[in-house]
Amino acid sequence: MSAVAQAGAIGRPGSFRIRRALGYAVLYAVLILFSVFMLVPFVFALLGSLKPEPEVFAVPIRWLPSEPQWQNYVLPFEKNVGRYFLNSLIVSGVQTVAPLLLCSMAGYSLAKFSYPGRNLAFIFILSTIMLPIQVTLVPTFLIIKELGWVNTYAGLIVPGLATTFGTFLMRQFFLSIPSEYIDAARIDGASEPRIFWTIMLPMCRPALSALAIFSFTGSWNSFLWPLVVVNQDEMRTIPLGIVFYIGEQRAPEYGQLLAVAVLATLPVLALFMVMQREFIRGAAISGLKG
Amino acid sequence: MAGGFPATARSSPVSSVRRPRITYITAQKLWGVAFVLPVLLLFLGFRLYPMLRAVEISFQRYDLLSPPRWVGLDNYVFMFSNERVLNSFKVTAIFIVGQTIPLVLVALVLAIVLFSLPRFRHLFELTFYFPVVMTTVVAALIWLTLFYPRGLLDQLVAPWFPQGVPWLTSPLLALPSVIVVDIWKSTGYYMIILLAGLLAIPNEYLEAAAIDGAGTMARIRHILLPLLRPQLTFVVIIALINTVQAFDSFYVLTRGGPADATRILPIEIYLRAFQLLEMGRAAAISMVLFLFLMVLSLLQFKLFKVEEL
Repeated sequence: MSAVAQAGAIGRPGSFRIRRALGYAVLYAVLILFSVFMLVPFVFALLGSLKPEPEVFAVPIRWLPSEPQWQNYVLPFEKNVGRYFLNSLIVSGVQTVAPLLLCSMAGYSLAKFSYPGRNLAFIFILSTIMLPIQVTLVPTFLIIKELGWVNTYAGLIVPGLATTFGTFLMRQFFLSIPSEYIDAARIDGASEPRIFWTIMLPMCRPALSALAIFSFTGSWNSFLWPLVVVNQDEMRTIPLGIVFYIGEQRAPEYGQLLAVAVLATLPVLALFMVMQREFIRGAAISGLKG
Repeated sequence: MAGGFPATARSSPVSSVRRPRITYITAQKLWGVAFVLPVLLLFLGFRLYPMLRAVEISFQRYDLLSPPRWVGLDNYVFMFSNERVLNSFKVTAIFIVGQTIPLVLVALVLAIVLFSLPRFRHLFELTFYFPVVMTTVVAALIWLTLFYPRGLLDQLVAPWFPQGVPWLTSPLLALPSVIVVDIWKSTGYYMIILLAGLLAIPNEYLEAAAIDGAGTMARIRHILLPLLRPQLTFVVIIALINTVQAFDSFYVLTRGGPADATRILPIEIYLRAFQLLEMGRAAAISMVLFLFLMVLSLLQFKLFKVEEL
């Protein structure tokens, strides 16, 4: 709080301090209330994933399972859940790595080259944020169908191989790198791909890691497009699998479902824990420049 | 004109003896094009082309089974006369207003609270931000178990509503319930943006105000909020853009029901296309969604210079 605290600390102690303490009490009350709202669903889901089925919705509420049901984490894999995870990993893997290359190539071109039509290309790429999959759902499905890619990895992956955000992010980052590096390398006779790969790209590490986490979480969490392009069980990704078990099963086993949900959250949670700064800074930066 | 002069100026003596067929500068331009080409082709093929096809299909009747048939403006007439679609517009409008306002307000209050927090700010940032990165389907599943009849929420309100509350099954409550889930899921994102804006405000302003005897509320109203205006505008636009695209939580929690009370546009488009197989009508309805997004995006581009975004 630096600002307000320091401002208050200037000058008078004494009675002012009591008022400040009261202020903090209100502050913490708001915080704790909201934290409860934010955290209880997680806690309840985590504990629920270890409960035997009748205890998940027990009346009165049961917080702790009578005995942890670890098989909730095992039994789903006797169905197709392992396959769902594999599919999610494949799709998210490709959709994380591909933008690292494609978006940075495009961003590099838009930031550091001049050729006729470059600005038009940039405006076009930027304007595709008006065309999310919700808008082009029907025709995109028809195109994928005409390509024969329904129920294939290609159908799941190809439309999301590059993102507007990623291209924009990389362009902005390349703009901040002085062009002198490129000029020097050119004078030394380095080829353009080599300049890009061995000189420019390594300088983009911070942007690339931000891009990687955004691509991965975006892909791991995506639901609407997979829902449209996949209708075979063995091609389902994790979110599709979860929805399938909620909706199509007559009586879903909520304990097991929650266990799958916990497992599905682990990769994102791990990434979040390791790269928390990048996550938060990424979000903050998107607003700061506004 | 593409490049004789600087190219010769830069090229080595060897290459000035044997004139290269493509000049150095032209080659450089070609490399520039080559670098942007993959993304450009992907976006032409999977963004622009689908959009053009969407316009085409919106004038056709197509059910995937028989070949498409031109029907002129029928789909657009249908869209503005069919009660179900009109209801979907209405629900979307209510949802947009009913979600954006509390979302931004909660985010703003939290940002100010965290801003004035002497310690543990980062811990709370992490706690409030995590739902943003988790899978919406998973978040919705968790809340589905909380909304469950005689579930956690019902037992919480049992002293006042012993019969339980139809959170997701009453047309009146379903939309507010989904909004609560969305707020839980996404407040952190907007909070972080606003908090970053607050932290960028120079300390001197607040110090000066405090010395002049401005109380907490006065400092918030006359210093923090005016200086936070760019971020607030940005957050409102982004919140509107994200809200109108909502789909996952609705699909899991209510699938448009009960009695179409939560049938927002993306749900309407999806169900019409892939349940009723009315591709033409679905495409026509998605044009409305497009217009809305276009207005918001242009507004965003206008207010925030691209170079600064």
